[in-house]
Amino acid sequence: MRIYLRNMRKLRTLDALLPKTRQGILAATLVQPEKAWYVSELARRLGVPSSSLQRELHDLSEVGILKTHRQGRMVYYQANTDSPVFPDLSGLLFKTAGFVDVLAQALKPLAARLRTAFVYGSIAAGSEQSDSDIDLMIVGQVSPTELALPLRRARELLGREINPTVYTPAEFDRKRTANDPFLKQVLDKPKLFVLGNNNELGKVAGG
Amino acid sequence: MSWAKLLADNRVTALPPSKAELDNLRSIVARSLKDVESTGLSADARFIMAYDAARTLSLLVVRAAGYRPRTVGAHYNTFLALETADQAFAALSVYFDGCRMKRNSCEYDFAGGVSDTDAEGLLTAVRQFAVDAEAWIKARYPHLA
Repeated sequence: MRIYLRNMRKLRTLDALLPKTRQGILAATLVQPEKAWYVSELARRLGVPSSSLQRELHDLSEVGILKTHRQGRMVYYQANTDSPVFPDLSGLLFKTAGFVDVLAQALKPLAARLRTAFVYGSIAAGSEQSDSDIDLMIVGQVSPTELALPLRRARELLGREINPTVYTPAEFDRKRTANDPFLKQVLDKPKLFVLGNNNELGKVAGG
Repeated sequence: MSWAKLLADNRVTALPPSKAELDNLRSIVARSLKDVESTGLSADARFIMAYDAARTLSLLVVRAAGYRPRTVGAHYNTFLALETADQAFAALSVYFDGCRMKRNSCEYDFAGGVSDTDAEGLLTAVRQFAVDAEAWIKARYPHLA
């Protein structure tokens, strides 16, 4: 399973489905549906010229995936949460080009020393507010200081604060065995895996 | 980020430092680093004390450079100014700012969200920073050392 997930990330599922520019637009808009983007802002975020976005934005608006509104001379684009495909599409984007992907990329240089990493809290439960932090649990032989720069880049890309909690495998296992209230609450609630999966979580300290 | 930009953004003011003022800050750092050694403290409490030491040490560097963070957003401003004082402190500044959010979570949101690994990681970084900050001040502002 782990090999499958790694391969899936290498291939990037979304690359097989959508061209890069469209992925970027959808990831930016659907992952933050409350935010309206103007073209040059979106272009800066994606690192592409504004002109390359016009056609895609037009097409996505035409089919109702995005909605537009005008303020002065500026046209703003925003996810259309009333679209019948919005829930499925945003779910796909969240799990792929959205924040999970961004976090996975950020942690990639440290991945060999990590056993698992997952998002918990309001975002994993789907009850986040526009200013909710991304609560990220990381289990591995990694120092919290090593995470600071990679996670700052991810924070800038996602437009959300990231609150990492780091456990060594030994501390994680010890606290789980002792039914640590915080850890128990985290483990009992929804999680979105950035690295590893539920099966691997069950044997974190063993491997 | 430059001092001119921080001044223009109202994040710092220019204010000459004094050794007496810096010595007071040093005593706060020493107190936090001594208290954190007490036995029986939770990881949350150790993290908060280590964070306090990190912030005061950052302030020590910024004050030595002749600036004072504005009080609105003081912690954030302090870490921004630390990076401005010397790019060599940039990674540390990013790390401490991340710790600011975690410290806020365990002060205002919920208990137990700090692991022993988080607390020890911060403490290790702060102890090293205490040495580096003093060396930095001694090299640039020997009259304040």
